[in-house]
Amino acid sequence: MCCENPGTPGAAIDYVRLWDEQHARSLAQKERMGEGRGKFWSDQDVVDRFVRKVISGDRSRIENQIAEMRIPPGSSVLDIGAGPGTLAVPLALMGCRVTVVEPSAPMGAAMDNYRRLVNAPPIREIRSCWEDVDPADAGVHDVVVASRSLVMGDIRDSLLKMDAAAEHAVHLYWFLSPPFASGGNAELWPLLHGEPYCGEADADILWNALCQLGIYANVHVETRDRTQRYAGLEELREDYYNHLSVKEDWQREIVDAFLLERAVPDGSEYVVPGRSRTAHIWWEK
Amino acid sequence: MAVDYISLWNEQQEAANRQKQLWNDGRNFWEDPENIGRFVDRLMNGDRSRIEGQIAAMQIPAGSTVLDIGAGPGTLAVPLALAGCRVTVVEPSAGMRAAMKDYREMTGAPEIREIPSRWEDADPLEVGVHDVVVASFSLALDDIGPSLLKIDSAAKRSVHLFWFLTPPAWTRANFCLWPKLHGSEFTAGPTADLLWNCLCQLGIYPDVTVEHVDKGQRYPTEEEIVADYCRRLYARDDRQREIVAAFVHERVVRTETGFCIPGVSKTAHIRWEK
Repeated sequence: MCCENPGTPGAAIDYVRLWDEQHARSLAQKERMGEGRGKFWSDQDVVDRFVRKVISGDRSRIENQIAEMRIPPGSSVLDIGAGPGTLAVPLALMGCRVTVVEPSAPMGAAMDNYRRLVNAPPIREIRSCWEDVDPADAGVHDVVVASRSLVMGDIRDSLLKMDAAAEHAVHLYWFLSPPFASGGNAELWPLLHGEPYCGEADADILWNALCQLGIYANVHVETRDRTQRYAGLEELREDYYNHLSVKEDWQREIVDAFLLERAVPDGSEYVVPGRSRTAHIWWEK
Repeated sequence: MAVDYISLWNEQQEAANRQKQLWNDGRNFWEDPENIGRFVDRLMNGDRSRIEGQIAAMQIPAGSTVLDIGAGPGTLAVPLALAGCRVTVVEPSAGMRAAMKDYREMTGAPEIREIPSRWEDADPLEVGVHDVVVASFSLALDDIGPSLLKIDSAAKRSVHLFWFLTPPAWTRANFCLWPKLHGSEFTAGPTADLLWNCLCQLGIYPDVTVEHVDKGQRYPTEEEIVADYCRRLYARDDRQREIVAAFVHERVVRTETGFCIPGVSKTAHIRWEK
């Protein structure tokens, strides 16, 4: 009976469609740049740099994430888009039985190295995008985690599949203001490519999409000064060229001029000041 | 992505207000002594776990100055004053202020400063700045953008807003019966998802804690439920009253402390620190 289930008036906006459309625009732009689905994260140099940051960078963010999820030791955890094991390896060390879903083979190899380095127990790996994972293969886990890995289309099915895979809780981390907007990337993109940058939808759309699906989640917003550190000017330049799909010399000149103005030396390192906001979105079942 | 959430909130709020004004003959729900009486009865005799939960969740240090906007009969203001906070309330209804005074005197709570005004009309200088600003189920405000910015400016340390994330359980009767009683669809007010979006639009990115509410409101008798629902639904003639009575009778459940209509809903505690 319709009146037993009053709809939410806020559902007038179709946030699920907003997310999917923005993802499609972002994907189309990446493909135009020759960086279609998964290619970026399959590049060995990108993975190496990422892993260096995870292993030797500021660990306080990872420690905070693990503390605030309050996952009891012994829990089974499904980590979707686990990357080089940023959360999966510490969780396995803590005594969780971890399964990861990760499409990138270099990331998988990096996680294996990281796991061995710290002597963490084995982690089950599903080498696939979440969208393509068979729910029977993923199984049901106490806790499902997807940290900064929601570059997903068909968000309705993707989220409902996460909800179905969780027995106790789901924890999502996603950007409320994208890291790309930080550090000047968003202002450089139009100069380099003659069109606005198309990022993924932010965490506010994600939270609203969840409400639209009848999942009412908690939100904790963390604002951080995003002072990403680079060992030298060369590494900093390479990272910017890479993120900004720079291939021509005239583009390099624009980036170099920008970095000359904005990069701040800090001891032997370089940082580009910026700010990012991340939302921890979670629900219990 | 440029959805103007503030305009959306205002449109939904105005539509809900228009619908109420159409039926209430200019009387204000919150000035009606019977509505106040029921509110106070629930406060004195009802389940206090929600109020205790709210106060615990806000973690306001004793000695803080607190501004409570739309404080009603002192539901949070009186316990906060008792806990050692210096409380100021903004409350437009004289009946509610009188009820708060009774409640305060009964519990021996210290003085509470009163600003007899709607929040929209309160003078920021008179309001002052407080450690903590609270607005609990009192966000049916006009022009939400300036109202929220005024809330933010009045707070030194933190703001706590409580609001319905799904329409409260009693609105089920409105959705169900409004067409039969008045020949039109019921228009619910805006919910907390939209409120959070408005705050993000204003550059405030608050935290949200979702509470699951599964206790129906308690009434001493079934007749009281029918009377309350009739008032909320503007059911005045015999035909309308019969429709409401039948709806209530079909769903009423007897509990240890009285009668209620079961139903579940979600509320949101939206908070930010400064």
